[in-house]
Amino acid sequence: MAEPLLRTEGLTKHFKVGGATSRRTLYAVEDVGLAIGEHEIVALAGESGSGKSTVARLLAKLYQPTAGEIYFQGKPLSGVRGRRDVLRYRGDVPMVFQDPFASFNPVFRVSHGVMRCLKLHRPDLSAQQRREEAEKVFTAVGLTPASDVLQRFPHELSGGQRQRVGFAQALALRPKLILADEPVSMLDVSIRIGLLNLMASLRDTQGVSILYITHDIASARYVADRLIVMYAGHIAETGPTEEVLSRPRHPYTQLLLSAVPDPRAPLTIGAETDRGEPPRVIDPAPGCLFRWRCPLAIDECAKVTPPLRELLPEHSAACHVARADAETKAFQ
Amino acid sequence: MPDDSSPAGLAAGTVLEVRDLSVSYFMEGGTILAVDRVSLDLAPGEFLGIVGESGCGKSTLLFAIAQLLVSPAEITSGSVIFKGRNMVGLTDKELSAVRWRDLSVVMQSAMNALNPVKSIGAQFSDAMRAHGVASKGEIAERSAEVLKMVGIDPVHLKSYPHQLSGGMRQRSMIAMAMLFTPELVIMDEPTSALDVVAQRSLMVQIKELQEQLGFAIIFVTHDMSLVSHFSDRLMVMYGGVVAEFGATRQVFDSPLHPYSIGLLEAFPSIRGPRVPLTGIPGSPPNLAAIPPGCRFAPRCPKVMARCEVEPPDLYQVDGTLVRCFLHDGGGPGDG
Repeated sequence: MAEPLLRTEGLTKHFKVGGATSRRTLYAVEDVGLAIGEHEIVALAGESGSGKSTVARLLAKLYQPTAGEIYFQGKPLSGVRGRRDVLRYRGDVPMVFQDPFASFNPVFRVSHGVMRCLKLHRPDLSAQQRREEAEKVFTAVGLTPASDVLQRFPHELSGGQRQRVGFAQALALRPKLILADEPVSMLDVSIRIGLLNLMASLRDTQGVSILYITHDIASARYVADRLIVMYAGHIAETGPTEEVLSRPRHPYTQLLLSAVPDPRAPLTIGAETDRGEPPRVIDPAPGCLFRWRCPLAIDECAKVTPPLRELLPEHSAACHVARADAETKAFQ
Repeated sequence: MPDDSSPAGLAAGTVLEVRDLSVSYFMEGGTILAVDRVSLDLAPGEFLGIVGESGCGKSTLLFAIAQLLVSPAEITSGSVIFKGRNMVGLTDKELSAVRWRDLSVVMQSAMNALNPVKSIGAQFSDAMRAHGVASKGEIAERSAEVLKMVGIDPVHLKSYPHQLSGGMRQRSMIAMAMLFTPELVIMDEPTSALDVVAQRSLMVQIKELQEQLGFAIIFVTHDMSLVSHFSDRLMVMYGGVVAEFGATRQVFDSPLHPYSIGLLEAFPSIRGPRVPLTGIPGSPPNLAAIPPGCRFAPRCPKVMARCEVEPPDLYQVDGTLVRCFLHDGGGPGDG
């Protein structure tokens, strides 16, 4: 296989928790190996606390990994050090944040952010070229007329428009990969689809890849080419989106799917409705971290951490019980 | 639409009757009509879902029903008859007698609604003592009982809010609302801070409690699909008015208002073929400058000339009320 745009090997992040004298360690991300190809939207899905945002911050170089390595275009990220190199990497891999109401400075017009990005990352452009470039990216994300929208203040824009500004700002850097951390979860339902469509069109027309972090598996299905499901810092299951969702092998993926409210489906409330919560992974012993919630758990699950195994072509799950062929249904 | 606000017309099986309720925010820059003549009846033990986008007035309506509005918001007309008494204009003292005992409110963010420096048990006991329960034994017993009802171990009565997970905080808020077994529980997006698995389990929990204890629920959410399996009736609000109001199943299976149709089509599905969706272009109306015609007209795919000049009434179609000229002719509804 050709070298992907970005891949990680054994990516691990631990945080110290408790007071200064505490020796307790939170295992936020543990041994994550993922790959993002060119022109691809990869969804990273999981509950809060599953480590998905930590992965994004590691990829954005906001955190130093405890162990493991990130390779961008084949080169290890630990080698990217000097200011110029880091700046270039941040331009190649920008981030779009969750809260469109908190991520803009209210006293500046929205042109301010995008102009600064251009000045910093593309110093070769003249003022005139910067303005043209800003208008171009604003038009690309559907903020038209661009010259008018650029002159507005954040409070004059709706949540959906602000999130588009976030994408425009990222796009101005001519990125290879946009890290989008829950970009639609704060938006109204009627607006969300527009943003998801925008992500797909950026992939198709601008040729960028997007890591789409979400807890909404239905929107992941709508927009993502591949899906990574995380649980308690580990990858539980990964593969092409449609393949994983039509044949979920990991019991946790099945649980996530069963919990999605679907007005088109008939009501099925079983007595077996899961009441569990994801664990805070502090100094864990070996074993599967999902076993307390898993109706299929066997003895081995309490002893050995299940490795990610390829069960079907390109489709892997970290589960001792999961099989390629047999239907192992934990949750309906 | 009828405008009788007297409790005389109260049907026997009604726990709450809201008539032509309007709420305005009196701001320096002008008046914002956030809720415009909303009427609804609620039967004992009924589950009513209210959905809409941010700024559609759904939370303001809830606060108006619970008499929790603070300045600059004010009820400008209409009545809220709860158990035969008009709640509008009651004094704080009269209201405190009703709150928690007959009517409880569960807020969106339990982290903000719970007192961070008091244990869960202390907050339960505050609410009970405020209603004249003095016996420590009784308080402890009831507190443990309601916590068990929502599936939390009573040892957590000693816990502080920050020691609980988001799901457990929300559950303990619901437990607190159950202290006196009220007849009406009002919930403002209680699950929106939770993720999908916790959300599902909380909804199932709420429904089970309701079946067990028989209280009525008004449940406000922006996520239409969330209530699809739980509510008996569904009210879709848009720009401060009722857009559609009918049996939940009917609204989902055959939505009438173009806005409801658009909302339903904005949800990507987890099953079936992957189809491109469009959402609803544009944004909700500015309630400080309400357009003369239908409030949804600027975003409506089926807009007609009439829609832009004349506001539509609520029309009744097969038991569903809908505010749209496409359904004019079914006769005005009495919503």
